[in-house]
Amino acid sequence: MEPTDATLKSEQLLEDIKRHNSSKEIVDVEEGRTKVVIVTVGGNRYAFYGEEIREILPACEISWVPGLPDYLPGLIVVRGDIESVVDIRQFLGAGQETGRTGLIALAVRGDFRTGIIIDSIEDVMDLPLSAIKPPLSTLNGAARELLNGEIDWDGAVIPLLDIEKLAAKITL
Amino acid sequence: MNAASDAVDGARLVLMRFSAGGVVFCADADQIESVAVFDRTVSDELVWLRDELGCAGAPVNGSPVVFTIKTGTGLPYRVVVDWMLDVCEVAGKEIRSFPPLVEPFAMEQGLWGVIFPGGRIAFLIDFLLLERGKRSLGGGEPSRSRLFAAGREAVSAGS
Repeated sequence: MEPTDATLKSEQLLEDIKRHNSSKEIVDVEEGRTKVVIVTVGGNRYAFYGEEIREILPACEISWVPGLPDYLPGLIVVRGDIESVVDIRQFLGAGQETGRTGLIALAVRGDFRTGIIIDSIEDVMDLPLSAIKPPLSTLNGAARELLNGEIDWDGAVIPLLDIEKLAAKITL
Repeated sequence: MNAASDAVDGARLVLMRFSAGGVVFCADADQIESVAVFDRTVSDELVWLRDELGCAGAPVNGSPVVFTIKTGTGLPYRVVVDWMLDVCEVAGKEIRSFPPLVEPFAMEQGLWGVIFPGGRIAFLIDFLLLERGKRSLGGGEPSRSRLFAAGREAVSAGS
């Protein structure tokens, strides 16, 4: 039998297998993950991107500042720095907070930085990006303006809030 | 270190610390010509700071005093505050600016900075900035007589 330069079927098959595995690996790498923080605000659950929540601060006194709109209840002191505090309940169609005894999530996105009043923190978890679905068109307008998408958590659909949209809404 | 940092580090302000509507404020002593005990029989047009800043609902705690503000125009500008607390000196590096979200609203009220001696926040107020802000919002001279009447009612209710 004479040797031939033609590609053997086994070689071709092995090449295909390698290419397939290689492309599969690329897909796996591209499937990014993100951390989300699930909180309650006004009695409802919402999620934030974990990278946008710098820390969760315990309840503290919020100093009222004359002339601020209702969504800005005032200022807090955090380790020698002054931070603004935003009450997002009215944007979400929830009732105005009363006791101001909740936690404060310190949100940072680019140059935008503020505390956000939350009732409690429920969970922090890693999610594949594909787990974030587009927001339902049936959501009411006030909340929808701040949404980036939705995630499933504990058998419920949780709106994912976008700090950049919040910044665009309230920054003068 | 740049020139701005040097200027802030070297700056020292003598501040009059007082309260109005349950909020603590500080004003640069250089801006205040005189301080007098509030006399409710005086008929001069006075600006009650508690009314001007929208915190008229809080009870008046203390004995109101009248600041006469240096305007440089010869026009009288007298502001009533609820209670004179003390005079203190602060270094420039102790003063914080308002966060960007809050600053535009604060500036309209004449508030330009924050200090927190002992952990309690006090707002730095510039009375001339306040006057300018109110004029730009109201489109003219604030109704001093109306403010005077409202403040006097608060004192009557609190005493």
